[in-house]
This record gives sequence, structure tokens and C-alpha cells, in this order.
Amino acid sequence: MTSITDEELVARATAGDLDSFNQLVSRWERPIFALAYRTLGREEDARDVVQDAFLRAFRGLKGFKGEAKFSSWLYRITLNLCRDWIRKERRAPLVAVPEGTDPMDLAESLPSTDESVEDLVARREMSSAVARAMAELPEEQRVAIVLKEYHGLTFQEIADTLKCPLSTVKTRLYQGLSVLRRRLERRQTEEASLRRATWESSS
Amino acid sequence: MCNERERMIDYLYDEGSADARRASAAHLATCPECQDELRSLQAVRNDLASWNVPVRESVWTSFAPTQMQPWWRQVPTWAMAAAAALLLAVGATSGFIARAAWMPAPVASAPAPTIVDAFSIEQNVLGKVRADLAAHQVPAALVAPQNVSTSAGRSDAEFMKQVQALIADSAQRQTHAWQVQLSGVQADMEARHQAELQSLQQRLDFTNNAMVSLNRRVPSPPAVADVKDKKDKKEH
Repeated sequence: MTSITDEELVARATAGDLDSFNQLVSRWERPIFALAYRTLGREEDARDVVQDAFLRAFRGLKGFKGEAKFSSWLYRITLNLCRDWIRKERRAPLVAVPEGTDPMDLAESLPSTDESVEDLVARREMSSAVARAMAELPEEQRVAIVLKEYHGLTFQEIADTLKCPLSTVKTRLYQGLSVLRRRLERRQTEEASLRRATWESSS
Repeated sequence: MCNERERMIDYLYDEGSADARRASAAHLATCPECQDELRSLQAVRNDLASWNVPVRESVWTSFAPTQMQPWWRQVPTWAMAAAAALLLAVGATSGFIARAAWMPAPVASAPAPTIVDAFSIEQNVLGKVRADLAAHQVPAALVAPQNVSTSAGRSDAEFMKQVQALIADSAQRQTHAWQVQLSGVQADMEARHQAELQSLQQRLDFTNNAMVSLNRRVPSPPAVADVKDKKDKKEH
């Protein structure tokens, strides 16, 4: 069975079929939330941006000429809103990471087939570390990495979405990844020395 | 950005032309520094894969469906039948009133008004009602001509009795339909309840395991006796 393409749904929604727009939302809400969350670092803000993004998309459907993919158009709307949000709030992204690892929270992410509890804890700690390191990156590097790593856009698609040259996209990616590498390595070193200190004090 | 770095990013993400890729591979084979660089960038990519996004409910309130139900679909069948009966009664009564008020006084030669006149008016009204009901797809039993007497000899009481029977029948069918719907909802709720219970149990088990595991990770504080021993040794 062939599923309806985004462009077909857009055409129907533009003709007044609201249910088609609902289908577009349910298809794209999760990726758009992920994009906003990773760009802003705040869940509540990301939720607000998602709502705004879909409302803007709905209002602007008639202006969508299909020159780019619907998803690229939606990404651009979302990133513009994120940028406005950051400027308006005059605050840097912040990732709300819990201090300790709450078992109840762990239980929320039900275990995959083979993952042990230890692995799960380690993965969540790494997730928090990555979130913090990403939040410290300049916005344009962070966005380039998010679009590449988590949304699988090609360099050209990123350049089109961000309206910048191809080489700029690659530079941002390279610089962003290099900074992340240094921060994550430093974190690993700090963790190792903390573990050693804990072990020495307890022995 | 120097060409080498740009090529490394292409190589890292498996983009760029086949020729560029071959050139990068050839360079990497002879340059340990670039090999290290590539390895560490790949390690960062692996770390990035661990960053999860919280799973939450949808923030979007769906637009209402475009196609609305026709108004007559929202009216219960029994109410439609009652309205039809009322229309018939009004039709019949107005026939009598019209005859009494507007017709000239009967002369001896003129035939006396009979129930047949009232029925002819009723038949007209009934015809219209049937047409309306058929257009609105009301169950066949209500509009079937055999269920409504066309005989002029039938009395009003008999006719009304028949209509009442139709209303009762329709109401019964409506009640039955509601009961079927209600049992469906009950079964659905029961299934959801069971699924939630199962999920909660699963999470509870997992939480218990996680707590046991976390307790193992936290180094236990030294026993009071050990601390005392260490203190004594220091003093000596």
C-alpha cells in the first residue's frame, strides 16, 4: 500500500481538508519537537515552538509552492522560531538535566531487549553530558550538528535550510564536532579522577 | 576551511563524489594524524547518538473533521417518529377544523362529512412525511406503506395505536443500539485497563532492578568499627 506523500496532504489541506493537515502534524510533530528541544534545550519552550510552528505552517500553506520539501520548509519555520525565542528570551540554551539518576525516571524509558541496567544508566549519563556540551556550542554550530546527526539532512539540504554556503555548513560541523570532542574528553577525564578519588577515600 | 578538513567531513558523513572519497581514503592510509582525527570525530558521533529526546504527549489539538454529520443523523429515530406522528395528528385535526369552520353549512342533499375526508387529508400529509423520511434514510419499517393502514374504514384510535407501536419499536431499536455501543466501550476500557496494569507491573519490576543496581554502584560507607580502628591506629 502506498502512503500519501506530504505534498499530496499539503494540497488537500490547502483545499480545505483539515484532516489532511492533522495527518501532517502527526507525521512531523515528533521530529519537529526533537529539533526544537535540541536547539533550545528546554522542553516547555520546545513544546510552545512546536505549536507555533504548526500554526504558522497552517496559515502559510497557500504560500508553500513546493519548491522545497515540506519537511525542509517546516524545519526552516521551526528554526526561525527557535532563533526568535532565543533572542527574545535573551538566554542561552539550557538543558535541564536531573542531578541524580532517578530509578522511576529510568523506568520510564523501558529497557530494550538486551540492555542491562548498568548500560542504561551509563547511556543516560552520556546523554546528559552530550546535552550539556551541545548547549554550550554557538547556535549555528549546534543547529548544523542537530540537522546532520539527528535529522539526516545532506550538506546541501542543510545549506538550503539555513540559507548559507555549502562550505559554511561543513566548517560549522567540523568546528562544532571538534569542540564537542574536547569537552566530552575532559568530562571523561574528570569522571575517571572522581572515580579514583572515591575509590581511594573508601579504601 | 582547508581542503583536507572539508574532505574529512565528507568522508566522515559518507558524502561527496566517489573520486573525492577515494582520494581521502588514499590520504588517510598514509597520514596517522588524520587517522586519529577521523577516529575521534567518529567517537563524538557515537556519543551524540546517546542524546535522547523526552517522549511526551502531542501538543497539537487536532482540527475538527471537515465533513459534519447531517442534522437529521443526530436526531434519534424515535424523536423523528414522534415528530411524524405529531404531524399526522395535526394534519388530521386541521382537516376537521377546516371542515367545521370554513365549509358551508351542510344542506340536506349534500352528503354528511365522514371520516373519509379526514383520511384523505391524512393521506396527503402521510405521503409527504414518507417522502421526507425516505429522503433522510429512516428505517424501512417506518415508511413502509403496509405498516400504515390505507383503508378508509380504520378508526383514528386504531391508526394512532399503530403509530405508537412504531414509536415503541423504534425506541427499542435505539436502546438496543445504545446498549451495543455501551458494551463496546466497556470492553475497550477493560482492555486498556489490563494493558495499563501490565505496563505498570513491568515498570515496577524494572524500577526495582534499577534500584538494586544503583545501590550496588554507590560505595557503602565504612562501618563504625572500622573508622574507630583507623582512629586508634592514628593516635598510636
